[in-house]
Formats: sequence, structure tokens, C-alpha cells
Amino acid sequence: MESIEKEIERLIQDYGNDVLRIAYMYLKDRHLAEDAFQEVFIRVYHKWNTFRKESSEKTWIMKIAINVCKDMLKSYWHRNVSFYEFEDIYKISNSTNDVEIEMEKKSLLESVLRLPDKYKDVILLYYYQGFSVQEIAQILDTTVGNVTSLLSRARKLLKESLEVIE
Amino acid sequence: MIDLTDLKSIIDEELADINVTPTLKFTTLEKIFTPKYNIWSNLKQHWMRLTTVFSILVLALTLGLNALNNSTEPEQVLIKSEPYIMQLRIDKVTNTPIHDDGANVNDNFEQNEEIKDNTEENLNK
Repeated sequence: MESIEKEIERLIQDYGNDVLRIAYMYLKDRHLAEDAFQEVFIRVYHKWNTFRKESSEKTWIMKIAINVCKDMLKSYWHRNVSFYEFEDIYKISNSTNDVEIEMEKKSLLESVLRLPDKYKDVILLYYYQGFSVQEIAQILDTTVGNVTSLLSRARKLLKESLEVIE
Repeated sequence: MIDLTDLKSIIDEELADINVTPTLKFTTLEKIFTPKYNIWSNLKQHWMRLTTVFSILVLALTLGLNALNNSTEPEQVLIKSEPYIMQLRIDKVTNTPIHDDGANVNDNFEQNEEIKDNTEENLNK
């Protein structure tokens, strides 16, 4: 019991921030992200004995995290109660003088977050979490070919979206 | 021009204040290792299986009650009535149907024809 407690603590220490941030990117609310964080590590605890270590710990935890976030987004309550503004997720730093760069960053982040879920998944996992295409295929339960094609289409969509904004 | 490879630094910068706090870590560990929460968590995690088991139990109960009712009810006997067959007798000589009273259909017809002829004769007179 003590060993599993230490193991969970280590996992929170190593991957906690990644889980919380990815949850925040999906749910766009800090409290919901914290709920998702707790749910993720509860599931990790319950499934720890079934983890066959065929993939890395991070891949496995991220898979659980994305599933938890999608379950929360699918829930009746979440679909019917919208209490946040999309713009809440980003903020422009006032300390930066280069307004143009800040605007570009804002546009890029906004465009990524506005992508349909399947494209947003691959972009965040590839560019933000730094997973390989094979690892993304494992996380999303799909093929490498499908991930590659999703990435390519997502980049195209982002390019079009950024051109429109400019 | 900002590139997609900058996405990590952009997100990290934007979400700089989104970190696991000691309180969040403590609450999570508390929830994981509290037996009371474990029961609720198990229920939440396996609600689909529980629903399936419950449905099967209800179905089994319904079928069982139905079988019990059928075994206590008196057996129904289906009485089949004989099909009604209309019997018709045929006069072999004239090949015409004969009524139950024995009169040939054609006899009546001929009688009627005679009455008709007589009436016409009377009128001509």
C-alpha cells in the first residue's frame, strides 16, 4: 500500500503539470481541469496493476487524461452549462513590448484551440507534448498512417486559419 | 513569423500559472486512499457493468414470474369445430341440384314457365 502511494506521488510529481495543462487546454476552466486531474490519477491508481509497460508511463497517463477530458466534455452537464468565455484561456503579457509577436502567438493558440477535436488532439500531442507519431497512434487508438494524415490536415487548416486572421 | 514548433513555448508561457499545487496533490492522494471515496469511485467507474447486471436480473425475474404464472394457470383446451360442409344432391338424369325437400330446381323453373305462358295466353284472349 505504501509503495503504491509513493508510486502515485512520483507520477503526480513527474506528469502532474502536463496532465493539468492538457486538461486545461481541453476544458478551458481551471476548476474543471483540477477535477479532471484528480480523476486521471484515481484511474491511474485503479489501473496501475493492469499497466503492462508496453508504452511509456507518460503515453499511458496522457491516454487516460485525454479520455477523462473527452468524457467530461461529453457529459450532459458540461454540454448544457457553459460558463466561461473562450478568450479566458489566453492572456497577453503586458510586460512584452513586441505587440505584434504577442498577437501572432495569440492567433496561433486561438487557432489551435478552435480546431476540431481530432486535429487538436494530434497537434497538442505532437507539438506541445512532444510525442512521436507512433506514440500518438497508441494514445488515440489509431494507426500511424491516420495520425500522419490528421497532422497534415491539421497543419493545412491552421495555415488557412492564420491566413484569414492576417 | 511564429511557427508551430513554438507552440510548446507559447502554451507554457500562457499557462505558466497552471501548476499542481500542494493542496491539489494532497486532495488527490486523499481521494485515492480514502476507502469511502473508493466505493463511490468504483461505482462511477463500473456503472455501465452494474446497469447491465441490473437489467439482466430484472429480465430474469420477469421471465421467472411469467413461467411461474403459466404453470399455475389451468391449461387451455382449444376446441376445434368441424368445418361446415354444404351438401348438395345432384339429379343424375337432369344433372341439376335437388333441394332438401326433394323438389328439383328445374321442376320449379318449369312450373313457373307454365304459369307465365298461361298468363300470356289469357292476356291475348
